[in-house]
Amino acid sequence: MALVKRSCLQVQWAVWKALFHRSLDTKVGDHFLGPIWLITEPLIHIATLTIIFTFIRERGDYQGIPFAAFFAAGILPYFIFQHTVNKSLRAMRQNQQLFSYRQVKPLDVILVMTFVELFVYSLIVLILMWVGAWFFGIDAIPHQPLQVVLIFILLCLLSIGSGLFCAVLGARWEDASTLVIQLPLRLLYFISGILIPMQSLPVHLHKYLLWNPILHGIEQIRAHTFEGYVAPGTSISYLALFTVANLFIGLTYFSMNRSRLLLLR
Amino acid sequence: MIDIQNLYKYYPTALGRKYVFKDMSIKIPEMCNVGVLGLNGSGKSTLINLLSGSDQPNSGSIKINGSVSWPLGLSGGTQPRLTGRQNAEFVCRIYCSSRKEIRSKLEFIKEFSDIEDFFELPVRTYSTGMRSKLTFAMSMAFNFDIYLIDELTAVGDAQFRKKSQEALREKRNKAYYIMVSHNVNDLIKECDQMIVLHKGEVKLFENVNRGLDYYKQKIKVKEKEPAQ
Repeated sequence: MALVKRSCLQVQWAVWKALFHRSLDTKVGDHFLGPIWLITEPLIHIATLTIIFTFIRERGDYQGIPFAAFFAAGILPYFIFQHTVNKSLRAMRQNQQLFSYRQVKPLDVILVMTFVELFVYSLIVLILMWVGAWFFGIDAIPHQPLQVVLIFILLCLLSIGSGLFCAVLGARWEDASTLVIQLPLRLLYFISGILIPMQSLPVHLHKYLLWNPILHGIEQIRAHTFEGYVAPGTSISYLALFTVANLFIGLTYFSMNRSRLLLLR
Repeated sequence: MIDIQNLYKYYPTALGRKYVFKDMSIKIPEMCNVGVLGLNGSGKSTLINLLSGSDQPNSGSIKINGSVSWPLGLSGGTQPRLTGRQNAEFVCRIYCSSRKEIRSKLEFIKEFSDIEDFFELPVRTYSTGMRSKLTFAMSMAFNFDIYLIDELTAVGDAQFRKKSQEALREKRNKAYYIMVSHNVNDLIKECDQMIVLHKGEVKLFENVNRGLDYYKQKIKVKEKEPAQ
């Protein structure tokens, strides 16, 4: 019996499915603590921030939003972006073995990688919302859920665009990319509104900070999750516009360099 | 049938473009085992990679009738952190369409690879021989029309080598292979035709021995050059 002939869409779907399972296998690892750690890591992050800020500010909420919910709404979407970009730097080198199977293309790796991050963090978000509501009485169910979903999708597309760009950088200049991408990425953590909301930042800095699309994303997620939250100057449309441009640049750069991504040693 | 037309392939290096093939055209007939001979760096592996689709030509076209395997070689596409089963599952998911098919292929791979409970352990714990046993078993699970073999005969112990050669022979009436090897005896025994790569020149010989003579002559010429 020869191989069954399949349509290209069937093959594409099979590749994505296989890559998805494989990334989950790698992510979870061969130890039962794998999936538990996956959830506890962001939890610890949120808990630490909450404790520190409760002490500094001597209160437990911001604009009536409990700190835990406030930080969660910022950190979880930020992590999707940060993890995707960080991983894509090494993605081409680490996944070289995959490209010996002709159906698997470099683009698939980046797409699935981002989807896995989205999948995992969506699960964490749902778990946290449930835990928050049940055990702590925190109402963190978005009052405009569709907009929140849209922003998450936009942030994923932004991650894909940046990821594609970084994948090429990482493949071509392995060492330099760490300096050029990973250090600024650390800084991005502090200026994306995760710790300090837009409203508490000095007004004369707003026009510079508002260049950052992730800040728009995070603040808008909060605005659509917590009723009455004000995020001056931010908008979904800026994020959407930036994402489209970024995706265009990422795809172009990636496709220009696609032959350089194969057979790296 | 494999039809390569005006193929150019180069690799960008610090010293400029290094051409492996320049305007290469070749036709490999159907159902005919082909051996590939050439010195190190003459482009044998590049040829296999191009045929398998894991590398792309800079220009020119490759037309292939039938399904092609991935390059079967020592380095095979496995991820060391995953277990043998997870690696096999990945390949099965790419090539199979139903869950039932995947399950039966996995069973076949486990049995054929002969590595027993190591199948459930991460590939990084394998010895080189075990790893190549696994990759070979994976490729035998699927019925390709064309097998691309890159230095595979060096794989495994004598017992497994016998088994793998038998498995390949069994596929012979349905499939054919293109084989790179430095072991001339293997090529003579297994192949019907011969491709000789030398300094960017590619020649196909319909007679294995003629190809071998040509190759020897080329190498001798090269060896004599410094003395003259």
